[in-house]
Amino acid sequence: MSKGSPSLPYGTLDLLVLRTLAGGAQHGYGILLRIHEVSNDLLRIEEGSLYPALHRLETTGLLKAEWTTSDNNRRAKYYSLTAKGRRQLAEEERNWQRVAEGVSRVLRLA
Amino acid sequence: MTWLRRLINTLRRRTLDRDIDEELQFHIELKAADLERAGMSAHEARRRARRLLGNDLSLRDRTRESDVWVRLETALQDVRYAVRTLRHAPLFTIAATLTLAIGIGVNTSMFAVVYGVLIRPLPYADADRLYMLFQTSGRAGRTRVTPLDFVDLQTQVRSMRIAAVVGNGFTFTGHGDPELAIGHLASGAFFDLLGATPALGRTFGTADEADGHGDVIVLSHGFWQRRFGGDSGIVGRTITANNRSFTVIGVMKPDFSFQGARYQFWVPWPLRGANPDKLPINRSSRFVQVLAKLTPGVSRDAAAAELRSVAAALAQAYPDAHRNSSFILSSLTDETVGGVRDALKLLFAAVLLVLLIACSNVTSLLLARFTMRRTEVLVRAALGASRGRLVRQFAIEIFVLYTVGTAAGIVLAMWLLNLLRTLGPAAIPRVADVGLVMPVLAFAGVTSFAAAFVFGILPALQATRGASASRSGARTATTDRAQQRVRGAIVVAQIAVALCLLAGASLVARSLLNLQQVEKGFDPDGRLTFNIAMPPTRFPDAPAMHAFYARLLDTMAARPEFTSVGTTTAFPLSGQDLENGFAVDGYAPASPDQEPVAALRGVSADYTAAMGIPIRAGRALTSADDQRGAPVALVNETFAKRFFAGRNPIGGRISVGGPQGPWRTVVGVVADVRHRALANEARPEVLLPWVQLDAGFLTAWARGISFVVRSDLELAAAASLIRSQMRQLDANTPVIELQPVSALVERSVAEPRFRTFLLTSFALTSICLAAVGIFGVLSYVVSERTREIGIRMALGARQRTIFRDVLAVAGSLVAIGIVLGLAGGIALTQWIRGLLFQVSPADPLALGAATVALVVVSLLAALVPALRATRVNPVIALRS
Repeated sequence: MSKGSPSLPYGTLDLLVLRTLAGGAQHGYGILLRIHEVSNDLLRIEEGSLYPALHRLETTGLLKAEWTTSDNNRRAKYYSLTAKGRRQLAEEERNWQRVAEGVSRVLRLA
Repeated sequence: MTWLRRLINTLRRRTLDRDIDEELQFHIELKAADLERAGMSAHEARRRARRLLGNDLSLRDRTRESDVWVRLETALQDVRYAVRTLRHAPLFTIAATLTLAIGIGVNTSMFAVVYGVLIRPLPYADADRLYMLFQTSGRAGRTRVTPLDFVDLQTQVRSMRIAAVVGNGFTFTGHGDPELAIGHLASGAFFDLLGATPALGRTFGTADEADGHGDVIVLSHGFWQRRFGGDSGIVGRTITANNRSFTVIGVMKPDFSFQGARYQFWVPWPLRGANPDKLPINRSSRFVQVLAKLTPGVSRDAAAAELRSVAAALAQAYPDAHRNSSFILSSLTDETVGGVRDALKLLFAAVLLVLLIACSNVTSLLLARFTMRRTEVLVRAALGASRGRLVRQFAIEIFVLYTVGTAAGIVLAMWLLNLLRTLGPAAIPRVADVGLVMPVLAFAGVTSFAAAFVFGILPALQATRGASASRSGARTATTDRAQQRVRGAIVVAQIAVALCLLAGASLVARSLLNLQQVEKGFDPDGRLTFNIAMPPTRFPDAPAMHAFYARLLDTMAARPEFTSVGTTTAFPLSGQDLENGFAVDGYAPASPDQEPVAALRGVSADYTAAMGIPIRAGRALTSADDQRGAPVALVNETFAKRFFAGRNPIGGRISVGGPQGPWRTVVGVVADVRHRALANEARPEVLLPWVQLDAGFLTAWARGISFVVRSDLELAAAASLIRSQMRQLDANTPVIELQPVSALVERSVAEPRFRTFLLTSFALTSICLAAVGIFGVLSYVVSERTREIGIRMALGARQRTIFRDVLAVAGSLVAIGIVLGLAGGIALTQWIRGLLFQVSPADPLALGAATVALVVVSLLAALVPALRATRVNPVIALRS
């Protein structure tokens, strides 16, 4: 949302969410913060698009969700990777590497 | 399993929404806390956190859309909405549901009968390959087969396997009272052809036909339960029947039967080694039923062709007996249920018409109701609902209505089927096992789904037509007029269909009346009948039978309570019959087809008096017509007419043995008796004194004696007196089938009566539904024209004129309906000609009665709206 942060290419949100959850279970807001933090605020996720994505990943079986009590004693929905989600992550990471490498080669040599 | 998760989510929508809200709320709070920490005011932080997330409602919706099955969810919404709307119009909903329940209920129950009786395969292995094999000849038509021909067929045919079956009565003794039970003598392949396996022990096979195996018997489950108390050690035990010992080798399963449950045991019949000298048979003794199972892959035509060639070979070998004769096949299914197929088809067609009327009534109701909801349609269309969306909404409402109607209809069908099984006559085969099985329920579902579509599409389209019309600025008056025309056409169709049904019902009812009033040729009132048998093991020869017969008659005649007692070898309407070739002195058949064939009865001297059979000419038999007297015979009117045409039959001569004699003198002509069924014309008949029957014939064919006893005693008293007399005479001769003669008459009209009852009920249902239709349309017309009527009354129109005008609307609809219905009725009733008895399909009385009934009911239905029109208060009508 803030100026200077590039808009995410279509489909990368899923990859970022899966990758973030590979480090352990997290709730929606936590996922958002983690992505901002790790990307050094280079990547900003539009908050409104996060939840539909999380729910879609859940119903397609890549994530599983659990209601647990958070640090400040509130009920929160924690998402974590399923086995299927882990496989999907590995797959998408490989794809991303190939695409990124391809794109940067084109940028350098073309 | 994504779809499954979505389906579950769709169904737990409320919890899902709560979860989503809670999750988003949690997000907002954390975000707000972070913003506050960065220096914002608490209020500002919350506002901003909320804004960052975007529009509350739309986010929740977008999130939910990932979780649910969107299409299903909107459909469920529509269903919920439909249920709510229907609940808000209870009168409409109840009327429509009841109408549908009646239509679908009678349909489902009738289909259950059609399925259970006609469609469901017979309970034998490969039932589609099972046939009965008959002999045909010009002279006697279709008959059973002779044992000698059976043996020839068995060795010659390749395209099928065959088994011989004859019914026979055995007297069982030991284990309590003696009992005469009916069973089958069957050749070894019988059970194998039917693919029947026993519950206990084994069945018999061809190996049991060979000599030296001893006598074996297989019992039906019911017989084993009843007579042997379900003794599990029965297999291997020896029981006594006809004074012979039989080893029980097996008990069949409860659901096994052949030709009905009254056949209770099976004994192998070694026809292969049949010795014609020992059996009183020749190539004209056709008494064997032949069960045939086609070899897999052989077509019926191929099998029939092989039978024809075998018949041709037999005709060469035995030209006398096989002239003009052949063998034909008839499927076992036809033999079992063929007799009721036409009646059931008619009844099923009738209930389809009832359903048609019911559904069209609902269509009419829907049209009226959807018109009243035009405002709702316009508002929703204005708010942006597309025509498709609106049509879907109405369609779902219609499907909900039909679903509820179908459920109610199935409950009704359950009840109707119970009623049917209690009222249903034994004359309908297999009716006891009829039920709401899966295929029947599937039929109900498919029918009502199809009906909902066919009869719902019009109202759904009509209801939403206003939606686009309003946008183009058109008024809806034209829609109303079109709609009224449709509803008028529906009423016309309903009247026409109801008239067809009513015409059919009144024709069938007239047939039943004719049948009950037909000249039976005997008097059933105040008479009882029962049967006894003289088994060959106890009465080995003619003298023994004569001696017992004389004692029988004496014992019964000794009681003054019995005013008259007679016996015969084949009782009218009992299913017993025996026909034989005769020679008539002075009658020369023009062709082999016209050789004299007549039913042959051995009767006692008092039989005609005891039965109340009128003597038309000559005299009755007397006790002087005995073994020492001159051989005499009585013939019936049909015999006299056919074979003594233009001559006086009294004093004429006939011979059972053929032209070589011995000759008998005809001493009397008796009235024709409806012997096989009340609907069947009498066939030629000859009555001989039982005591004068030829010894060979007597021992082979006349061992069963049917009594008729006339008494002024009450039924029960007479019955117990008969039993005690017979017990005194001989404890080992069981009395069976003791019943009033009128019961036999009743049974013979049971199936036509049942059919008439059902068809009449369906016709009455259809009239009621049509009346409801007329009532609905006229009420609507009156309410639409209240203003106009008010104006006319204000201008001085009389109540009578208004009344007449409204009735005229009904009258014109009914008149068109009746014209169409009469035309259709006359065309359709041709189709049921086979079910009518002494009534023409275009019988003016029946059609007239149906028309009058329909006119009266229609006018009654129109009366209430017409009267309401005359009570319109001009002041109120004009102000509203």
